[in-house]
Amino acid sequence: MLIELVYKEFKKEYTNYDSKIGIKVLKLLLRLVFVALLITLEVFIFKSLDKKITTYSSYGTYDFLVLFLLLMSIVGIVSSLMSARKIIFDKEDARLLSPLPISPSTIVFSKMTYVYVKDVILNLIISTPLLITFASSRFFMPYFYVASIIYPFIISAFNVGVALIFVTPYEFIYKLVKSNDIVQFILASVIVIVLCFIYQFVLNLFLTALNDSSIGGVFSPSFIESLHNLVKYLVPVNNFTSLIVSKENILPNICIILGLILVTLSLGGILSTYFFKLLNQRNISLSRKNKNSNIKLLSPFKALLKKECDLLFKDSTYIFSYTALLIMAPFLSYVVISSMNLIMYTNLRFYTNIFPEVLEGINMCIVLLFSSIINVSASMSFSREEKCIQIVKYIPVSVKLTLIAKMLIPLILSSFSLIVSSFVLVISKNINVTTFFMTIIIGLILTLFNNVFGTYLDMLDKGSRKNKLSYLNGLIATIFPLILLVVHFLLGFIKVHIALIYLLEIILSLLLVLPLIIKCKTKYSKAFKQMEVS
Amino acid sequence: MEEKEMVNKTIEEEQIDLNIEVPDIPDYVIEIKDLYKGYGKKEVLKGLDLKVKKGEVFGYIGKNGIGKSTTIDCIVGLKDYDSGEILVLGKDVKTQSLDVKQQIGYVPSEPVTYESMTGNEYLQFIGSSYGMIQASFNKNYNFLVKKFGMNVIDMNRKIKEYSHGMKQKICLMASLIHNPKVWILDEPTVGLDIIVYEVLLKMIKDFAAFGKTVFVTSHNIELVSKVCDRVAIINDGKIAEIIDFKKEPLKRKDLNKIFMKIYGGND
Repeated sequence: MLIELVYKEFKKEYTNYDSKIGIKVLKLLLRLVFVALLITLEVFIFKSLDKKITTYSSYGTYDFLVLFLLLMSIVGIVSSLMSARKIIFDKEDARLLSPLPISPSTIVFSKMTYVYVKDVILNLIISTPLLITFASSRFFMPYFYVASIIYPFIISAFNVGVALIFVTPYEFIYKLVKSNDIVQFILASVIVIVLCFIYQFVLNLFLTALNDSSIGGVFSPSFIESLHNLVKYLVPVNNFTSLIVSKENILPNICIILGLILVTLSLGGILSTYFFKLLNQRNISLSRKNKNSNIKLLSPFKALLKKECDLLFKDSTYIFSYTALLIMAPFLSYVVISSMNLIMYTNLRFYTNIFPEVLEGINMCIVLLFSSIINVSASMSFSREEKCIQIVKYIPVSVKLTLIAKMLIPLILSSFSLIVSSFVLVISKNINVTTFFMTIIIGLILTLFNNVFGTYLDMLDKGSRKNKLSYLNGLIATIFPLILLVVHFLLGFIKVHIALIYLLEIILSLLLVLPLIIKCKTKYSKAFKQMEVS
Repeated sequence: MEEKEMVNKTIEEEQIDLNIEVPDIPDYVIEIKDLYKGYGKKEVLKGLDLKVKKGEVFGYIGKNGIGKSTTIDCIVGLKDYDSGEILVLGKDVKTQSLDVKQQIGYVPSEPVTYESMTGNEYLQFIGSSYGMIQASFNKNYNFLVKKFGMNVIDMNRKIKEYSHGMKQKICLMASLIHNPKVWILDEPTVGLDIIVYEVLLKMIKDFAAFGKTVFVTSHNIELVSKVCDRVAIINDGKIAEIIDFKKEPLKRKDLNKIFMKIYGGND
């Protein structure tokens, strides 16, 4: 029965009934190519680093091996945790399995086995090549290679055990996050920022590996020393590697590894079986009732805002084209402006002396460009509705309220992103305080313009004439910051006082918004009514 | 007064809450006068006149692309019309659009919902948009969930995971959750299984029995002849014929033939 249950999990996860055989083969090939590339890259980086670190420290590479394996183990625990949550607390699966004569412990054990097999495969792809690369340049005995293949089977047992201990708390947190849009947004932002730093670290690692000069980049001597002191605490990875590399403390290391696996697996198994029974029984009994799930009604305006958030954050198109870019904007601005400042100050010192304000003008222009271009995609709020525009049109909510709800969320988010970008730049001394305030003031006016104008054009495009005017907003979003830059450059060249330059730029920005405010109520109501829904 | 008591009693039996008073409805719930609507140079509605009475099930049929959905779109405010007048419950759909929309329950021809929402979230959105009272919403919700055979797991699933039939059910539920006085259905039977189809037929009849009005378009002549009190056939942008089944009950069976005759088809 156990084998059938495990087989069912694999079948559920990997069977795609819609795909044709050719597409399936192509997908498989692509996966294999991806895996091969991943292994090649990993081996290349590790081998390059190994060569460098060995010249500096005799134990350096060993420490890095342990660190890498520990990171892989953490990746394994996280991926097992996600898989385990998905399959253990699958309501539909529980509903189907509950009438069958299978004990909950067998069901959980089958799911554990499935997660374990997946983690073993992951470690065979990632960890085994690392161990073999490490051994290949040290002429280790054949037993090391055998141990490299055994390693995934051992570490995966530990990974799955830890994942099972945390699977229930994770399920509660997951539900909590899923039910709260603000928490979801904060969490997504934190994840993107963390990923940015990881990306930066990996990039540095890669550059260090490619760089022919001696030790540098992320490998400062103090870092290597601290890592060496830390390695002995990195259980059970360190126990396994010291067992096969140095062959010291064989019995204590085996006991620690087996003990940890036993404790984590038993505890994880017991806890997850208990909560599997408890939560799924509750879910099944709930599904048999027809009571509402305490749906709390909101005010029409709050309901519209919530819907707009759903469209922006739950639709994969907008998560990537707007939300993720919005979160990335401060990071992008920082990377581009700090690199550009470095180039300008080191290589173009002469020009910055002649036009002292031009660099500040360029910096402001870059922040405004990022901010307004990202914002343009969010201003297409009626296109985002797709067919659901008809819902917006037939519900009894005033045009004014509908439009405010549509513009408010992107306006707040884009403004927040702009302020954070400017703040990051001013505290990292990439822009001065005056530019900081001016960027925020002009940026907020532009954000307002992009949202209001973009929404208006979007409504006109949906009218009976089927215009295609939305591109105008993107065009202005790109051109206007460049116009400001030209103004900045020309007036700076003829030595106009910087305060006057900024004042003129603010006036220009306000002139852009002004036509949108005149007779806005009539214009917008008319455009809304004339939107044709088919 | 007598009618109101009857209505409330029936509703209590059905467990659906009716917090909206029924009485002051004018004789004609929907009045369309000299309606013109075109798309570019193509005129679809050419001076359409139509009156739908209170408490009746009114069928609106015609061949494809003849203007059935356009008429409905103009009534519910999805499309702006070129000239003419549409009154719903005596109120102009252009100048008093919010009041009109408040009283209408609309089911589109294709199930259109926010697919990233769950069934519950969508009904919450609709209920909130109509400014419903929590107690009324709860009662209507429980009644509709039971009536359409949905359960808590279904209602907590994302709509994008629903089958076509389930999406149609959610649209039907959303159109009734605020207990409208006029129920407008555009091709409601597409994709429905036989059980839900029967439930829908019963709900249409019950809805009219509560003193409310149903306006339905369908290709399904059987549905129209089964449930409607009157049927209008549209041709060339105008009403070609109106059949009153109460006065001419035998015509229920002949509806198909009448339809074919108007469009110049063979008997």
